[in-house]
Amino acid sequence: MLRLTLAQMRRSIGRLVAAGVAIVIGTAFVAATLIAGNVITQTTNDSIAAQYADADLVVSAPDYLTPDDVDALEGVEGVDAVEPVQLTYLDLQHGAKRVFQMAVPAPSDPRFEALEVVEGSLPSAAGQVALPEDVAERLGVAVGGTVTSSRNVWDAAAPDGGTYEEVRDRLTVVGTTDDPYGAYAQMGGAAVVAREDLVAWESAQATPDDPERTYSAAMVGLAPGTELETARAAIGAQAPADAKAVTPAEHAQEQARQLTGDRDVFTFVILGFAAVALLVAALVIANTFQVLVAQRTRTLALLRAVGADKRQLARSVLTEATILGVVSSVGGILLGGLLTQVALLVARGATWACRSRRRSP
Amino acid sequence: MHALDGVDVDFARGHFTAIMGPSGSGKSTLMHLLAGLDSATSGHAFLGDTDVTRLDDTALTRLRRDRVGFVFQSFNLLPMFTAEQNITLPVELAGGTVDRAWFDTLVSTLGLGQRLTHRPSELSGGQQQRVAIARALIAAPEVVFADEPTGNLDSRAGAEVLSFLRRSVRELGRTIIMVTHDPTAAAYADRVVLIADGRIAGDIADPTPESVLAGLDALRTLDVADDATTATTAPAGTGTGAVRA
Repeated sequence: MLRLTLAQMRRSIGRLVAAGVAIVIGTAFVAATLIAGNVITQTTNDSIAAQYADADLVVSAPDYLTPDDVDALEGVEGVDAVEPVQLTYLDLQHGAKRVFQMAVPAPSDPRFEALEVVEGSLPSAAGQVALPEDVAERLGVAVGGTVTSSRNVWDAAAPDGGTYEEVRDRLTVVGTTDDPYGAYAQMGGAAVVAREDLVAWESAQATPDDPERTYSAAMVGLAPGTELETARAAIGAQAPADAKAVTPAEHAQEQARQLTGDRDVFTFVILGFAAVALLVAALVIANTFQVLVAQRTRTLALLRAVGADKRQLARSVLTEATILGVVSSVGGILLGGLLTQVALLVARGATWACRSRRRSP
Repeated sequence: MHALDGVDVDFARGHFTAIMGPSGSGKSTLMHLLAGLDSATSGHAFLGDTDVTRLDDTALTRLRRDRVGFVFQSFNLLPMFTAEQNITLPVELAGGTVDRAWFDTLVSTLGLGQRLTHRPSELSGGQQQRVAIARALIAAPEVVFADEPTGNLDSRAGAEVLSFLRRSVRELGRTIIMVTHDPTAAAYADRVVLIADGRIAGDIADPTPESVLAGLDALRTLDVADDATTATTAPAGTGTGAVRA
């Protein structure tokens, strides 16, 4: 009976292919949408998690952590290293080139290193900076060269009762970095400066009315052999009541959920179009099979005459539809995956193109 | 207007019977009733002890599968199957296994040994009809109905097919009921039943083309006389047909 079904399919291959194409397009659409959605979510997750490098836990509070909170974390048993998440903006100049660059402090522990050093090293003393490779190229500065950093300092002794004054520092470029996991990709990369510089600049900029320095989160590295859950509980007992200690992956997921709320709506809209495509495919299939059965009236009548019962014939048509559906759906999923891959490659190619454009003078 | 009428006829097992009659005489209707392809509005048709007119669809399917075979005017082979696959199709549909000895007997009797791997499009009309006969016989049915089996064949191929049908009856002990309007074809049968206006109008044993023609001629003169005097108004499909041992 299966042989008969297959033989019938071979005879109607043209019509079946037409219906199959409709299914392939529909499923490819759905598959591509879902895969792309997943890739976007995953990429967002990964890049957020990448900021925390190999930290074991991320401690965050709904409003903020005070420096005292951070210091308290260091006293928790099993905690090996603590580093508050901190960033600032630099106004860097070299010759006629000027770049506004986000900057993070040099990590106090190798576990917190989110960037990879390409050349030279990360800053180990005040007055040093490590630049992202492309930023260094844009400024036309090499390792060993210097850049000028302009910043504002609050001068409380000024005659009119306090004002900002511009101060220029010379920073030595000690290294260039790469951001292989896209930790700071969404912020245009990150320069690295010595923590003492960053703290000094921030306090110099602060007016007496500014609130105390706070942190959104702190990274925690655990001593070897410390159980994650034990440390989590210990930190929970020590940190402010509303603070949470989560793994970087969990933290990233939560952040990504807040970020991608809109993207989910976007996915649903595309899936709406996909539903239309699938509905059209369903109509095409129904129509195809109506035509096929009508075309085969003679054959079906003959089969009835030589002893086929109605159920056998119905089963044959259903088998045919199932084979068509499965084969086309698998094809559609493969096509959808392929399209997504191509789209990702094209997107990556566009990024490269951007970079190389920036590199050219 | 009546599709058959007051028929009352028996067909003997192990015989080759031809049903003849002018167009519209109801010979095809009679065969369809006997085979359970059409249902009777009144009257009965028996195959052995089974009343074919009283069977539901499932039972009719089983009847067609196990007890009845068909040979059609237009061969009706599946074009995508080889000759062998066409022959074994009924057994495959029934979910049984092919009786190889019987298959070989059929194939050698019908001279199809060299043609088994060919598709219908690679076979002549006569060969296609022989494949159809083998298909009708493969399940060893109690009776084979042949509807104008030589209608689409030239006279040589037709004669070949008819002698195969006769051999199936004589040598393989089959029962065949054939509808035809060709006296020469009818002469291959053991018996010819003449039908006119839904009634049995003649019965010729051991027919020759000449005796069949004479019978038909008699029928025609009878028709002219009949038309002048009677108007039959019995309900359609009335009558009794039977295939008996």
